[in-house]
Amino acid sequence: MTALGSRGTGQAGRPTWWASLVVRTAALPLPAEHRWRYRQEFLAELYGMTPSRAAAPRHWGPLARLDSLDGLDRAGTAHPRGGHDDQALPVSHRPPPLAAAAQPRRRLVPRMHRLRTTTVRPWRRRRHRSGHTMTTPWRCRIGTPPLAPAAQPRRRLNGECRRCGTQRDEDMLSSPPSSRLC
Amino acid sequence: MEQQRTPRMTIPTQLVLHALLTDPAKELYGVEIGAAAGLPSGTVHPILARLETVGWLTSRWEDIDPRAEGRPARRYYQLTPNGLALARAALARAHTTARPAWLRPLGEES
Repeated sequence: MTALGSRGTGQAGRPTWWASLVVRTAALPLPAEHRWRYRQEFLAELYGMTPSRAAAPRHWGPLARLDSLDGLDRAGTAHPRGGHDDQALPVSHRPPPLAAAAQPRRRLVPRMHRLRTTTVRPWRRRRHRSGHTMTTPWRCRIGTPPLAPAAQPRRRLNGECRRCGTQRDEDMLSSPPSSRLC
Repeated sequence: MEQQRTPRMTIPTQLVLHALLTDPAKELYGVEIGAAAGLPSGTVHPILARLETVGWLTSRWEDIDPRAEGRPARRYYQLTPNGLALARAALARAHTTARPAWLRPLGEES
């Protein structure tokens, strides 16, 4: 299903169709005056990469950094509130640039999913523990809980919700839906 | 409001400048710069765009016949003479002023 020749060969050459598609898609949200240029530039850079190298997440950067390229006209100069030279760290302790490429990469900035892990998930966990309404099964929230048959000594319509364990009796089941929430 | 003509000297910016300063006379394209700096293309290209915006870099399309070469033309970047001097000064300044005293090696003057 490819129109390009390097699929599966592991050799550098024309990029796979999906790599081209990703690059073309990544360039779509860019400002119109820059879109064509960067699309051509990214596509040109795919040539010469092996398919496995092009598939590496680090080369999917255009997707992750669209906001940076999107602000070409307004970004990049020193802002009075930050980003001055004095805030930078020296680079002399790093290996020479060409040698750095051959060494395992040291990640300068944590990936976004790590940021999400450290920020969003604890919040969601806290919300889960606090008994937020979203933790209640949806059938219980809409008043039609999945009842398991319980002991019915006098053929009463009682039961126990299989999700939240709430005991129900005849009066509760006959009450309006708004009062039957778990 | 007048725009300041100094790019933010972040660590990736310094790495890109370092890669370009390795051989200032040589033109590099995005993947080469990224490989030299150890940065992904998604980081390199916004930095290159900023440096080009402030006039430190020039870029041009490679002058080839795509059919003969079998690939599209690349875009090559090179430091301008002014950008070369400013980049060297900025890197030197970042090197000397960035580290707090407790991070500097013993015996190094501020």
